[in-house]
Amino acid sequence: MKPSRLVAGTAAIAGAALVLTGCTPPYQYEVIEGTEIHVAWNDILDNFNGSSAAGNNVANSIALYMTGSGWNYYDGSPELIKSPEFGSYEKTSDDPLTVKYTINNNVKWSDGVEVDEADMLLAFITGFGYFNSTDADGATTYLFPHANPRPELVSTLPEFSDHTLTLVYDKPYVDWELQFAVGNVAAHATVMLAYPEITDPEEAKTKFIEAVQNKDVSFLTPVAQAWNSAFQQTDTPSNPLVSLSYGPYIVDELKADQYVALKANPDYNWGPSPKYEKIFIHQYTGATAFSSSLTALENGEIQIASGQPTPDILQIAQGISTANVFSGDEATYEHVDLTFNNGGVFDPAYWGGDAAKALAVRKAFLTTIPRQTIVNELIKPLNPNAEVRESFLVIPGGPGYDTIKAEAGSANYPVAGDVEAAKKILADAGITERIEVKFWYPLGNARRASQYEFIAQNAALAGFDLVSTAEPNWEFTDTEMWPINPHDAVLFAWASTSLAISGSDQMFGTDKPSNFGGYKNSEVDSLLATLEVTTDAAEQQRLQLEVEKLLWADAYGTVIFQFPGLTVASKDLSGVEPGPLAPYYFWNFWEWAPVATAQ
Amino acid sequence: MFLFVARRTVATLMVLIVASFFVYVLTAYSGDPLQELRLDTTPAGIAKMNHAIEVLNLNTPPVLRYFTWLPGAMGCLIGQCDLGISLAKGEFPVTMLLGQAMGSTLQLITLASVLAIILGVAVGMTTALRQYSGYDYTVTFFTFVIYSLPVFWVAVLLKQYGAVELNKFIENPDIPIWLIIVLSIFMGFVVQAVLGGERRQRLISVAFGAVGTMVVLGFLTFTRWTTSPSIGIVGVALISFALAAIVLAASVGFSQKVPTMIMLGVAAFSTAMWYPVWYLLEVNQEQGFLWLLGVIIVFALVGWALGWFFGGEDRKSYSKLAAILGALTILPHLFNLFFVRWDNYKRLIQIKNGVIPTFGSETAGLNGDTWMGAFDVLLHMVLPTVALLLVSFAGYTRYSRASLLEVMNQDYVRTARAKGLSERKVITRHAFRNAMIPIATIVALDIGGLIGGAVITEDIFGWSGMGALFALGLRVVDVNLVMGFFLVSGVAIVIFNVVADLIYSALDPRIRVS
Repeated sequence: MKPSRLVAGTAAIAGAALVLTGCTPPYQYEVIEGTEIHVAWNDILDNFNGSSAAGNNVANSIALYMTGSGWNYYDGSPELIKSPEFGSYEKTSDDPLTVKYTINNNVKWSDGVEVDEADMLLAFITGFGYFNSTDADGATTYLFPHANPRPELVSTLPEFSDHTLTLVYDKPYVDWELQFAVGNVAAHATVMLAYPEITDPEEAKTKFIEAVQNKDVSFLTPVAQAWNSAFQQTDTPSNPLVSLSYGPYIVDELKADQYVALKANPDYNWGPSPKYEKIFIHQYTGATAFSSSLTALENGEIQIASGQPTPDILQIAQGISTANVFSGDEATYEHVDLTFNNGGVFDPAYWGGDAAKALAVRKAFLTTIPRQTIVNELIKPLNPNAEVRESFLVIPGGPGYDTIKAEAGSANYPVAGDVEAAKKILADAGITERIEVKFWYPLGNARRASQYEFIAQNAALAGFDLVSTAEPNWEFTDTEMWPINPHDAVLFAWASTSLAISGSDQMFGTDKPSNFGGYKNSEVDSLLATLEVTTDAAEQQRLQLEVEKLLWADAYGTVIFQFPGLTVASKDLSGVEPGPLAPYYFWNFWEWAPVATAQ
Repeated sequence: MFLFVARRTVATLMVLIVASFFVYVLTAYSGDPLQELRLDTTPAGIAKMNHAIEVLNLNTPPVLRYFTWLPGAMGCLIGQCDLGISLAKGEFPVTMLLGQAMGSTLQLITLASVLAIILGVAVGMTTALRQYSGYDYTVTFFTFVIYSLPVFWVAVLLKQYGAVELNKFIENPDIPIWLIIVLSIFMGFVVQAVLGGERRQRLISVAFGAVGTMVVLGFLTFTRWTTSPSIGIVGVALISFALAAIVLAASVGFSQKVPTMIMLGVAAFSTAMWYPVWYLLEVNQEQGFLWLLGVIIVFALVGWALGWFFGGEDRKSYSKLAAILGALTILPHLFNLFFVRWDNYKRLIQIKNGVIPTFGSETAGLNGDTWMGAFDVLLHMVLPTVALLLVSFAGYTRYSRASLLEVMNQDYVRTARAKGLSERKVITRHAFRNAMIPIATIVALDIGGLIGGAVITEDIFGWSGMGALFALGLRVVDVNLVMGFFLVSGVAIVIFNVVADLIYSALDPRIRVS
């Protein structure tokens, strides 16, 4: 047996033994004293409560990702990974959907108080908008101004006991795994900030739990105020209750618009140990932020920078001999949507109500779009691994993407753009005249202007005359001003921040706010509605495939590429592995380690 | 005078109100504040959008929304400002954000303005004195070149050559011998062009400049001074005596014995104080800046006393000059204080080569003492200050050159010459002061404008001042933020306009405000 096999075999046996005995390996404290790393981001922490409407943004979530823990996180693939060292969650029933959350006993806030059911209860009443009232106009107001309260999901107070809490959903919910997290705010800290006379954390927790159980709104109103505003801080908070941590790092220093310094949490032992003693996130903002951060990286001021590349930026990055360059996908994706209801050429009304003719025109137009050329010319220079995206719903590499790519019918729209096939579709439908398409893209965006040129050239060969209706202000997205989209085709990108499945109906559902093209398909509506309440992963993927088939068959539009992302990291450190979803390159910060330099 | 100010204030208020209405409406219509949120179709994204619409009152048309903003802004008149919250900056009150940004902007602008004024006036006036000389043409050429450079381009070049490459040089100061020779000859020509004079005088200047440059560059490269600079008592002496020479040259010249001896005395005192000052400032770091101020005052007082007691008939003017020189000679002592920290500082910062940073206003988490902190802030100010300096320096040279030329043709200058005053006295006593009158008003107006921040410079060098705030507000269509900026910079400009008028009337007795 080769030595490497022996090692692998031993490791496998050891691993199996660990799994079988239910043990986790003893925690190793790997923080190297005196090490620090400086990284750039376009904004820094300004709110220690990342769940409130004011504090819910990416920059806050990144710093708070390092000062908090959770039942799961996204890795770089991106895939949702569970963290058993922190706690566990399990679906105990499908009908009604019941999820039991447990936090391990050793998990503590940085002031030594345990993270327990009181904190989960606070997360529940805020995230599910438990305390709300509806006024005469039907507008709902919430006691706690959470960024996205969801009272329709769970309306009953969950049962809780020592370190556990059990959510019972009113109806099944597709993204139940992503819906609940402890957040970054301790229940006892919030109560003690609201009532400074309470100094015992246990007393604070007890009073809070009682108030929630008795629906004591008069006690909770100051708590809600503290929850919303006490955590808003631009500089190092004077009250340590504000900056409590239960993650690998603690906020050590915060300097408005400059940097946030995070220091390793000496008590942290419920997850992988970080290596750097300090992490500094510097604010690099403004129009030249990315090139500024690259100059700073070359000068040694920072070690990691990231952003959206241009050919110039990429060249600068590759010119830095002391840095590694990581090209990859971002979660944002470019797409073309067609308009079904504006009396234009893609609307049956234009063809005298002949839906088949309109469908043929849509299909022919989408068939001409040279998606591969666009990717080759505009994206591959920035990300050599770029490919044409083939799914409306699923990010490449996400669950079910390969099946959708193979079976949903995108193959009918060859990536190279097939002018002859498009001509044939038009001829078969009996259309001989040239067709005028009002095409919109955001004016001032050079990459989209180039895409328009590629699309227009190919379409012209098949008999489409593209008319640019580009303007810079995205006016059609203001549905109050433009209930019907005046453009026949629009080119822009949707952003995604998670693998959440819910939300697709906003773009494809009849009369939904982000369905700018007036697309209507009752079958898609019902499939998406079913998807929303499906908790089984295999069934979710089957439903998504069905939706995709209909979208491609109806010639809804097309998808082109994922935005390229660029992360540049100094060769002084190892372990950087950018991911497409928030928290982006920060997701595995505990693996960042200094490279020992030869003395 | 009171009437004048009162009238101007009322007029100003009206102008500001009307202007704020237009700025508000134009900003609100300049784009869609929800544009980014519209692209996020998740329930969270939609909830965020609704939240933004609610807190910013976006369903009200901008023209009407202005009148919900105005009462809060009018509150500023009675000390209760409410300029709303900024959604782009974490929903903090705009007044708080303005306060933070103002501090940062003033820190950056002050030094750059002072240096630009001193250098601009000095260069401008010397070109005027040697009008149509090679020096004048060269300076004119370069000021126009600088004047026409876009600041963003200068800034990027500065980062590359003023930081990245200069840092490499600091770490490894190797200048090839041929380059030292070429530079020395070049500097020789520059020195003679600036100083001018007869043929013999010029030859001496060339030799002086060339040898001086050669010595300095040779010293740098052979001792590798920049890798761990120190100045010691020799450096303090050299710089103190150089300052004395500059002050003399700019005032009474070297020809008189009394002032020369007084200035030499001040420089000698500064040199002698090398160790005491160092010791005092090291041990009293707690109130370091107070002690520094104290030392400056003592230096100035000693200078003043020397001038007073040895000045003879001209004691009044000599004591003033000596006091100025005394205060200036604190500079080598500061260098001394900074340079002894150089090695430790380099160990604490992230920059691998050299010390000059490209971004931000301080080193994060620097665990240094008072003087290291001050050194750190100054190093962060180097590049943005140079960028700002280049831009405004050019303007000041043109203004002061034109102003002095005009004054030199006035009757009273001819009269002064006719009564037998030396040319130096004519210039320093009569021409220079009067030439400064228009410059003073220009400076006042410029400072009013600068409080609005330097949008591009702040953006590129990562100073989160007023300009950066404005740029952010405009980019994300945060009307409250833009209006906050508008109010502060608008008020500053108007106030300094009034101040400029008052200064003018104070300096020039022919002008009366009424």
